[in-house]
Amino acid sequence: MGITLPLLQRVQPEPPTGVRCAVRFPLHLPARIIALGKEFEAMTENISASGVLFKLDEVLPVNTPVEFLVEVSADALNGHSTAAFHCLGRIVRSYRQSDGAYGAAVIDEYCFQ
Amino acid sequence: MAELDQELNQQSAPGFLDETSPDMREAAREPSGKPAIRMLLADSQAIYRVGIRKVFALEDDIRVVAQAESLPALHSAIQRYPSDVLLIEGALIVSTTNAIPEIMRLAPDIKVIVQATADESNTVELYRRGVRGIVPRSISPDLLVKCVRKIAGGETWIDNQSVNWVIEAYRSQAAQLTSPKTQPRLSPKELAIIACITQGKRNKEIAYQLGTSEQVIKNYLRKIYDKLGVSDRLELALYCLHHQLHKKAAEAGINPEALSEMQSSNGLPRS
Repeated sequence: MGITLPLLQRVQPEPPTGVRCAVRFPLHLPARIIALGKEFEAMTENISASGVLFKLDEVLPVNTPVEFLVEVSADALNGHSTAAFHCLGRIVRSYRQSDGAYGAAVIDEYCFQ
Repeated sequence: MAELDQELNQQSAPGFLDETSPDMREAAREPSGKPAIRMLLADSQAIYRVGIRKVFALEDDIRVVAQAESLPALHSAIQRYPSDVLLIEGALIVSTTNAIPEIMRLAPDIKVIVQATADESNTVELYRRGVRGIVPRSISPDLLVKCVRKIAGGETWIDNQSVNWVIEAYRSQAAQLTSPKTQPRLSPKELAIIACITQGKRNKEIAYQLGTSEQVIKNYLRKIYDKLGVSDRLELALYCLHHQLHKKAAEAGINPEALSEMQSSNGLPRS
């Protein structure tokens, strides 16, 4: 269980010296989240340079540290090999709606795979 | 008047950097024992610096620990005198695009107040770069003191008009980044580099693949970021996925491998 990934060229987002106006892109990409010692399958609802909104089966408590991998299919890259970005972050908002559970995570570090 | 003349003459020396005496620095505490707000003052006009110092001299909780007449003198002051708040004349930074980021780099915890005229693009850009407050040169002493206290306490000083400008700038940036109708034109080379970024390649790998140097790739990336209005690699990759730039590049017959081969076969110098 768990994703063991080499930490290649970890990047931390720029420190918040200015107004953070990260735009949210409405991208629906599969993701795997590791939190609370378990792995969860999720789908992104939207992604920005500073965070991600996930839809998943379980509500993750706020402030839960998370590690997640967002996968980019070969089709999205027009036939090139798949890609992914691996992130470390924490849950800052979570709620349940009729169609499932949602969790918003900030990205503290990321690297491309 | 003689005292004012003397002070003005002293402060008119080029690159003037005033140091407070060690006694004053030691005394930088309020009567209650709480540390006073340490202020740096940067203004090209000596008479203005004198006036501002006199305003804050009346306050128990604010100490002007140093003042500077120019940007180089300010950089020196920032490094020598730890400060909480910087009050800087807008004219000192108007011709230097990275003046505020450089100040933030030297003192990440310092809170910057700029004295500038109200202007939408200037205001938005200053707040975007991390300024905590913008005040007019004609601000009253009482209001300036209140501004310094609020900002030292962690608040942002912004008037209603500026709030509207900043929110509007955020809305139009978001619309521009996500709208398919406002995509800037990208050259084949730029598209090839973007394709590599989204595949997770590092600058060195991209440079090798495209037959160029890492510095050239960095230069291209800087241009691409500015063109698309994105802030980093991740945002660039997200932008590309959202706008399906890979499909568009493929339709135009552009891919990194083909571009590299094309340059070789045409005997073109590798850029």
